[in-house]
Amino acid sequence: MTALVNVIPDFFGPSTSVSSNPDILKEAVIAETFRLAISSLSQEAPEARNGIHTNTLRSWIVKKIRSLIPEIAEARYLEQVIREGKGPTLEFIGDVIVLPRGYFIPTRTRAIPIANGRYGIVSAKPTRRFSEEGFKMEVNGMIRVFTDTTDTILEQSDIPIQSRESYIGGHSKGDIIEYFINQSPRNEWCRGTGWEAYIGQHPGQYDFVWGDRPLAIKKGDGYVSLWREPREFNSFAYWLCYQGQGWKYAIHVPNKEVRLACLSLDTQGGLPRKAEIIVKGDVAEVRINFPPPGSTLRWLYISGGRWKGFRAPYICWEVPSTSISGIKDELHQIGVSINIEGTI
Amino acid sequence: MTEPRVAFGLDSEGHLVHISEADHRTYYYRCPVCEDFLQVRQGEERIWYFAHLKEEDATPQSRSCILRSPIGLRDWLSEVSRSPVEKAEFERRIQLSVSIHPYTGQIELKGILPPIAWKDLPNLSLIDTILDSLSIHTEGLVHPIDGRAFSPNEANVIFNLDPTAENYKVKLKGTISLPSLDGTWTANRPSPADLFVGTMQIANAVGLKARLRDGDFIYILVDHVPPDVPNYRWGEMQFIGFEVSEMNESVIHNYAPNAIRDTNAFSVDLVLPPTINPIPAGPIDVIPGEQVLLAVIPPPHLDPEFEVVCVPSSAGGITSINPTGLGKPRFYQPQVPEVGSKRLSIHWGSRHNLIHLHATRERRCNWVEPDIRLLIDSGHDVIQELIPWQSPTASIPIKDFKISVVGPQDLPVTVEAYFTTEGRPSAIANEEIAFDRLPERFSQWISEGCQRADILFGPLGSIHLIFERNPWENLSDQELLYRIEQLDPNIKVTWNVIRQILRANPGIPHTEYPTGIRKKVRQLIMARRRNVRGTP
Repeated sequence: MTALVNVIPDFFGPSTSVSSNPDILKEAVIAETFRLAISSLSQEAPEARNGIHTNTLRSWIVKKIRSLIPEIAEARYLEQVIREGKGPTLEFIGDVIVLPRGYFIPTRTRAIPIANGRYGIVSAKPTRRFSEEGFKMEVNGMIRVFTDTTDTILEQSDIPIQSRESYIGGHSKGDIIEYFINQSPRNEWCRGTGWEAYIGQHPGQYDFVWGDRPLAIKKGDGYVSLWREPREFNSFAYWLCYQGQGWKYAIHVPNKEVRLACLSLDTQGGLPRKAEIIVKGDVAEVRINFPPPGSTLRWLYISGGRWKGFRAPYICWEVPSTSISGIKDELHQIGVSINIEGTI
Repeated sequence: MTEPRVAFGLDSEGHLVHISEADHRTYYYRCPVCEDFLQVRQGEERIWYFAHLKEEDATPQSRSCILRSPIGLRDWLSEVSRSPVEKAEFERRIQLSVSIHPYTGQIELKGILPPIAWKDLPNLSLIDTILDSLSIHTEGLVHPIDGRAFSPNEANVIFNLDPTAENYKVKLKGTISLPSLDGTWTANRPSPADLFVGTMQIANAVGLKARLRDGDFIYILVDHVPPDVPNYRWGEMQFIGFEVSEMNESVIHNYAPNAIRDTNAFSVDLVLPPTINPIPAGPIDVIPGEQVLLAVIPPPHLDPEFEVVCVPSSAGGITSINPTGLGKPRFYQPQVPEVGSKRLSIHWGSRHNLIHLHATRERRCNWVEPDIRLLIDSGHDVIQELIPWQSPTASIPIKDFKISVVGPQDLPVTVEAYFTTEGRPSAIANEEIAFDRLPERFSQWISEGCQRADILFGPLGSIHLIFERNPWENLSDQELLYRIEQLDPNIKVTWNVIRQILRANPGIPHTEYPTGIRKKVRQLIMARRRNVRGTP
C-alpha cells in the first residue's frame, strides 16, 4: 500500500486531491492506468485511432500496476472497473466508448456542471494532463471533478460543457406515462398467463413490487396501470394498460424506462417514493426507498456518490455535500418526495 | 579450506540454473566451467548450493576448476553479470531488430549501433567536428549513415538493412580514439531458427539458447511457414510471429529448438513515469529530474537476489536488490542521466533485463479524441452540424436533404424512430446500429413514414431529428374522404379548399400539391353530394 500511495502524485499530478480510502484509491489508480494505457497506446500505432483491443489494454495495465495492486492480474478484476462492475464503471460514466469485438476508444472530453465551480469530468484523458493545464481536481475512485473553475475557463481550454439532461438522458420525456399514451402505438389489450401488475409501494420494501392488484391512475378519459409479461430467461416485457369505457389498449414500455414509469405511477397515484438527505458537514447521506433508474444512478456517480449499502427500507449513498443541490434536482425530476435534514 | 558455494549449474540443455530452482537430482547438473557433475545441496538448515564432486570422484578438469577457489568464483560471477548487450558491443556485433512499419504494417529488419559515449569525448565543444569527420564505411545497408546519427545525445543509431545482402558491416573510425565505437561492426544475414524477442512493434535478435517469457512477442525466421501461424515476409525471408505462452510451446520447440519457455523468468516493469509502456522494448524517454520506478518481479515461488549492473560495466558499480519474499515485487529507483543514455541490466544469473533510460527534453504527447458529428445538408449553403453532447433537436425538410456522419467506425448508437399513420403513432423502431450506417437506415425509415427519430449515444448525449413532411404524405383515401365529409357538401372546390383538406402550409404553392388532387377532391365531393341528395 505504501508503494501505491507513493506513486499517486506521479499518476495524478501533484496538486490533485485523491481520496485516501484504500479501496477507493485502488479504483482510482486502476481507472487512471486505463486512461494512461489508452493515451500511450494511441500514440504508438496509427491504427489505434480505430480502437485498441481489450487484450492489448489489459496487458499494458496489468504490467504497469501489478507490483502495486497484485489483484489486477486476477481474471475479471480489471473488467469490473471497465464495464462489468456493479458500481460505477468507465463505460457507464462515459470515460471510454466500447466498440464491437472488444475495442475501446477515448470519448470526447466534456465537463458536466454538478455544483457551483464544480464539474464532473467525462474523459479518457489522463488526469495529469489536466493538472498540467492548470486545473484543480478531486479524484474519488474513478470519478474526477474539476474544482474552482468556470464555464469560461473550460471553454477556453476547448472543453465543452454538457448539461445534466444530455449526460444522463432518461427523463427528457416529461410525464413519461402521458408520453407513452400520446406517442406510442396502441395495441389491443390481451393479458396472457403469468402477467403481473405493478402494485405500487409496498411497506418496508424498496423494490418495485408486482402482483394481481394494479396501481391505476386516471389519465384523460381512462385509467393507466403497468404490467409485466414473462419472457424466456427470467426477463419481462412491460406494457401500460390504458382502458376506458368500451376500450382497452396495451402500450409497450421499453425496459430501460420501466423504473421511471413505476416512479411516475407512484407519484401520480398520490404516494411518491421518498428520498432523505442527511447533511453531515462535508458529506451527506442520501437514502432512497427505490432502486434508482439508470439516469439517476449515473448522476449520483458523477456527483461523487458512493453506494453505502441497504438499510431497510432504504438504499443509502454517501455524497459530497456540494453535490446535494444537483441530486435534489434530479430526484425532483423523477417525482420523488425529498426531505432534507441539516444545512447545506 | 572449504570450497566456495556455487549458486549456479548447467542443466541438460546448457541453461544456467540457480540452486533455488534446481530439482534435487544427482548426476544431472554440471559445472558451467569444468562441465563435470555437481551435487545439489538443498538441506533444511543450511544455505542451498551446488558442490563439485569429491576430488577422488572428480575429473582432472574438475579438480582444477577455477570455481573451487573464491577468486575464481568471483571472477566468473562478474563475467555472468555482464549484460549480453555489453558482450555483443565488445565483440563489435550489430544488434539486429525486427520492427513493424507503423503505416504500411510491413516487417523490416534494422541494425542498431550505440552512439558515441560521452566519456569518449575529451572536449564537448569538439562534438560537431568529431561527428562530421567520422569515417563510416557500410556494406549491406539500404542507405549510408550520417556521422551526426552517432551524437551522444541519441539513444541508438538505427539503420535499415538490405534484404538481399549476405552480411552487414559498418566500419567506424573517428579522428580521435573512440573506444566505444571504433572498429568494424558486423552481423550475419539471419538464418532459419534465428529468434527476435520483444513486442509486436519491435523485437531484438537474441542468441539461439534464449529463454522466453510468457507474454513476450517473438519472431522466428523459418524455411517454410506452418499453417495457422501469423507470418511476415522481408525480402526472401519469412518470419512467424506470436506471443509466447504454454499454448505455443510446441511451435517454439519446432522452429527454434534451442530456445525454451522460461517458467522461472522474472520481469522488470516500468511503473514510473506513468505514461510509458511498462515493458519497453527500446530506449525509455525520460525527462531529467523525472522519477523512474522499476518493479522487479521474481518468479512466483522464488526469492532471488537481483543485481543491477551498468552497461558497459565500466560505467558504474553493481547494486544488489535484496529479496523481499517469494514472488514479491521489489522496487528500484535508478538515477536519470542529465544527457544521453544510461543503460542498466537487472539480472539474476544469466537472465538479464536491459533498461535503457534516455534523457529527453520533452516527450511526444499527442492526445487525439474522436470527432463525433451528424451533418445535415438541406440543399442550402449551410450544413447543419449536430453534436451529441449538445443534445440538439433539428427539423429537417425531407425533400432534398442529405445526412452524413463523422465518427469512429462501428460506434454503437441506439435509435428510436417514430412512425405515424393518419396522424396517430403506428410503430416505434428501437434499434442498436453502427453510427456510420445511420444515413442508409434513415433513408429507408423516411420512405416508410418515419416522423422523428432520437439517436441516443449513452452518456455522450443524444441527437433528436424531426422530419418535416408534406402533410398530405401517407394520406389515405379513407382519411381524405373523412376530411371532405367535415365540409359543406355544396362547397366550391378552390385551391383554398384543397389547402384546407390537405392541411397544407399557406406558403406552399399548389403546384407542389399531389398531381391530380383537385380532380380527385372534386370527384369525391360530387359523390358525396349525390349521397346526401339520395340520388344514384
